[in-house]
Amino acid sequence: MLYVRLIGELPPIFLPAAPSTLVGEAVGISAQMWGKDPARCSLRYGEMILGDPARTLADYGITGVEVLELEVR
Amino acid sequence: MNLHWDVQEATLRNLYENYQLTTSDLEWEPDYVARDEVHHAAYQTRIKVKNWASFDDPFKLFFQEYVKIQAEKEKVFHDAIRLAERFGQAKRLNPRWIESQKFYLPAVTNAEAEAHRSHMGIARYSQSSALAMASFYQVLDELRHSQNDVHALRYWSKYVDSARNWAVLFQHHWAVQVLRSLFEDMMTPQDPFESLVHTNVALEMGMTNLLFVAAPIAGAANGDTVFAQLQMSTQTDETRHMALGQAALRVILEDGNEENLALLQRWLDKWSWRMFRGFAVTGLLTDYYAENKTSSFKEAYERYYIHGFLEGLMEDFEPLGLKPPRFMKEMESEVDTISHQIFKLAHQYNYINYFRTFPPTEQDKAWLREKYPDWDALVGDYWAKVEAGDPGIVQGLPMVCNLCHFPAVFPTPEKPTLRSSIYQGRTYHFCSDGCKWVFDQEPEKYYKDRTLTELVIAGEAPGDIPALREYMGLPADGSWGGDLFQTDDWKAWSDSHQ
Repeated sequence: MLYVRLIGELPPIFLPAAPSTLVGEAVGISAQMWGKDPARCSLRYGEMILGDPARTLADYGITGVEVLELEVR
Repeated sequence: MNLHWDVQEATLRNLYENYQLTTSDLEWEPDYVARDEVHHAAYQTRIKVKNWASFDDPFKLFFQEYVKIQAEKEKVFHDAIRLAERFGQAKRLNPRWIESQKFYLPAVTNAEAEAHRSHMGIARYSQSSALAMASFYQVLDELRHSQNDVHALRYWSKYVDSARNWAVLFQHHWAVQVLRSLFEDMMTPQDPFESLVHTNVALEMGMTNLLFVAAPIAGAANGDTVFAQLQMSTQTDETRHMALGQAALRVILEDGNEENLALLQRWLDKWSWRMFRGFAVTGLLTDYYAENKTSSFKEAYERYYIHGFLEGLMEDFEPLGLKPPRFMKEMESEVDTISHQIFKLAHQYNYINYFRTFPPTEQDKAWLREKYPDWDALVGDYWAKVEAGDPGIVQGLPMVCNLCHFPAVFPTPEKPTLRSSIYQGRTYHFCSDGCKWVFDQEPEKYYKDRTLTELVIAGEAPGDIPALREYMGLPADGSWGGDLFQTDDWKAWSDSHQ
């Protein structure tokens, strides 16, 4: 179960995605839920930026119940 | 010789002797079993006191006096409702305040009803007859409070649709789960004497004045004499409960048993944190719903909790080894922010609420800035956007603390205290160090907990908004929630009070 938090906002909200979800797709969903422009958004997992939209969340070690952070440039 | 004082001493002696006749003199030493075995092992307390006979109920009530006092209080409360009904008070109240009553009554009524059950553990299993009797009066008090809450709901049901649906709201509504989880935790203590600490000490000595003094003062200032009288009628019992808790705590601590002390400390640490989270909702009434404001949540907390409870009552127990609650630093750091975080949160999810919220007015903001100098930095931008036309709502299920059931919004977005624990392979999320600590102490008590968000994700509660509203006890169209200032009720009231 994944949650995504907009940096500077609380609480995190449920992210309907799975470890097999592509990063690009997860960014799109997260941005839509927080009402942000996906083109200006990226996801972070701790200190790590999920920079490759073609990789899966699992590729970045995200497999369980986690809180991701949505950063808006 | 002072005859007056002699008579007074004799009278007091007679009262005391009579009280002994109806309490400890009714005890006998059993022959069939040892005294420790009179009660089933599952219900025996781990609190061991050698000299329970030293417990002295400060009030020394007899049933006759108890009934007489309560009957007088009942009459005043029921008269207050009759007068309010006869003269149409509810129709003249500020709609802002009415929203506070919509929120409040469904959230607490069941709790008062259930409080009597947990206290029956002390009435039933205490080895002190005087303590058992005082606790039994408290059991009756809690039942009286719940019936008065139901009576207030009946009164409100003539004016407010949601008051008729309070039982479903208590069971399922997301915002009420905060209080339901707290009350369920209280109903299921691990030891009969844990109830003494959670109810009489952490709640009634600690937090009760916020809800039963500060909040009714705000109610009276906003014209709601029904709420004011309801709360004050309860508070006069709370005073007796506080004295009971204080006297019992002293007897236990003076016994000098280190195991007792460790148990009491753990219960005090746990329940002080649990109560702080639960009673923070009083800040919605004092800081936001009351247009005529009296004291802020922070001021009430400092007056009643810090000065009244910690400095006034708990300091007496420090020489006996009891330390201040473990999470005091966290409480102090949140008292500036918690009511604002919760009201903002309620507004962000107002499309699934049974009560309405609103952006603070200029008058509200001036008061909030005076009472909370960091208010603008915390939520000022959010409310500015709402005023500019942004509805300010969030579409998505929030992460909810697996202990207190508040969405994880504390203490501030810049310093989030999101925590987690893994138990039996499942990850649990918490909004704070306090909630994580409580869970980690007794994971076997809490591990089956599922938040509304988790029920939705598991397919056990509906995921689409209209169906979710109905599941929670609201009409599917969301008409009970939203922004109060956009409603016809508000516009009509506002126009008539220009």
